[in-house]
Amino acid sequence: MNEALRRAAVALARSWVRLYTYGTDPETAERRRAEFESDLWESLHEAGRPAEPTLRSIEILDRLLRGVPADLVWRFEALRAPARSSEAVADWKLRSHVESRPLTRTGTVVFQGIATIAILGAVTEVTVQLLRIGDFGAAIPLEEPWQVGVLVAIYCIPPLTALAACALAVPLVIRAQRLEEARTLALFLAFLSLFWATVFSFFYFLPSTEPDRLNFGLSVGPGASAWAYTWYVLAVASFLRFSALFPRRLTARGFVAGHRWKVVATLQKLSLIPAVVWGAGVALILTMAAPVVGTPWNPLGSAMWNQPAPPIEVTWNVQWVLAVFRMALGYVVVPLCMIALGVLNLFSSLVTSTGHDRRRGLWVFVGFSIAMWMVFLAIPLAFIDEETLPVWLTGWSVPFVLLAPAVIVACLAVAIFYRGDLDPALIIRRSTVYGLMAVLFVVLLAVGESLVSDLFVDRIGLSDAAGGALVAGITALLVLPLRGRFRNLLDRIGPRSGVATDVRPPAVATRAFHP
Amino acid sequence: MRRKPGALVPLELSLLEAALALRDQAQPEFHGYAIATRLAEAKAARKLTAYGTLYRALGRLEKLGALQSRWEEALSAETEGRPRRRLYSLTAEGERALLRARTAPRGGAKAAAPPRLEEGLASS
Repeated sequence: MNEALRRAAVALARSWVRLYTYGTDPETAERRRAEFESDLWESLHEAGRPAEPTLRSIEILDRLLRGVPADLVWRFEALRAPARSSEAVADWKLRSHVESRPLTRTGTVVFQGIATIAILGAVTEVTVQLLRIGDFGAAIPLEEPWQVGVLVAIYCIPPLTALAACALAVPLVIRAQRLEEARTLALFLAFLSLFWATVFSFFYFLPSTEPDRLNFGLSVGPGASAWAYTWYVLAVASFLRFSALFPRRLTARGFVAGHRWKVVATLQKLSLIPAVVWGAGVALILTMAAPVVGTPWNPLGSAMWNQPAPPIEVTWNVQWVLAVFRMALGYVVVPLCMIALGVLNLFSSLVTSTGHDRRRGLWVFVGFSIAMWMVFLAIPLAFIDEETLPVWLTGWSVPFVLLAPAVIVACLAVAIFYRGDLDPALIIRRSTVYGLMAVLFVVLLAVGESLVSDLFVDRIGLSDAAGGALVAGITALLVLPLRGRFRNLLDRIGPRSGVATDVRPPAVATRAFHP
Repeated sequence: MRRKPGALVPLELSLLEAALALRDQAQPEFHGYAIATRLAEAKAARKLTAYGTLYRALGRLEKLGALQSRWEEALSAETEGRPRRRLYSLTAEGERALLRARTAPRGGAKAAAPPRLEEGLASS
């Protein structure tokens, strides 16, 4: 009993230390935890002190409880203290590069602006007409506002998240080429955006039969498949490259395959070469872009990915066999092999990684898994007959879909950049800045569109779309310069950042004694 | 009440006293638990200083330059099968601050301001 009490006291004390050091600078937190562990060990093993477990337990709990106020003050100070490690400086530089890119700023503003519209559509009774992405001429009225919200969310958020991810990936690649982790993040963001684009290009409407339903199926629309397939292959290639870099960089030298098959191990080694991966992807796309000739279902000889219908009519000739073989190879076999190689790479990386790297890998896995389930559960949930499920329950699919990409990006960012100097306050503040800009952007765009667009159309003769784009551009020019003002406002009232200032690296602290 | 920057509180002064005493006993370096037991012995107290209070005070003294610290070699900790110790030692600045505190007049809180250490950022 006494021994159990001692163990409980020790566990409680350890849990408390982990709790109040959680989220602080890891170096500082680790030092505090290590010092506590050392103290605990010394107190439990010191010769000459009472060895009775109950007394030791009481002493531990007593020291723990009396120190709680000081612990909380310590935490407060630790969270306010500027990050000073060299890694923090490097990370700060990276973030500055990313944040300072016009493409990133614009992408983020546009994304959050559309998100604002989608959320307003989902939570208000305002009747809106659903506009299919890329098809602004065909509006499909829906009867229930919440259905409109769901559809707007489903249609708008993931593709625009994909765009925002692309916007983030580009400056990462351009500006931080020497930073391996930036490259890794960019690759995964590219994969993420391409993945979303692929998934959501597979959704389509049946406008004439069921206008209030979103139907799921493989896209058969002419022209859409080419993009969907290209995104699909590039997403797979991005994943394969990502698997060679995360959680640690794999190289052909000293490569541990983790299995016995030499052929697969050789393919894995080849997949570590960027030119091989991207070359394979491009070759696959070109193969599917090549026209299919001499088949009865395709007299015009259009590309494989633009086939009007699957070649289900069996015609035993060489062209038919080659076409089916090419389709199977291009759509299924090669991409799946690439995915399998990527999974094996991740496995090889994990079996030779440190515990820290494995935890980073786990973050990605968890984030991606949760997000996928959020989407795949939410979409059917929204379209189950309301007689089967209450509306309030089906309405929950909106935040599910909205938040799924954010979960992936957040987990990825933690996994890649986590050194303990990941700065949530900075992220919150910057996101808020862009959110404010986006709200202003939406309001000004709505007003400007109403007031000025007609003028452009009537007087200058521009089309609706061109007029709207012009107003959007002018609005962006008005809103973007306000970033500095919003940032200063947030710097005053928002959560304190772990980075010292916005324009220079964190100060290196020195101590001076002034008598 | 908010204390002035750099001002030393009684616990911090006691820690410096204990550190100096340990150094006089040929123990220039000490770890957290050792100084806690030393403090308890000096005050004939039954209770050791609380974890949070002790390590926050040590950290603050180090930040002010009165103490310096390092991790002990991993080998010695592994040999003894225990966690590594964070070893603190008194600096010349800490010793001077302690000397000033000893020589300061004792006539109440307003009669003598507490000894102060000031920290600064070189780049600020």
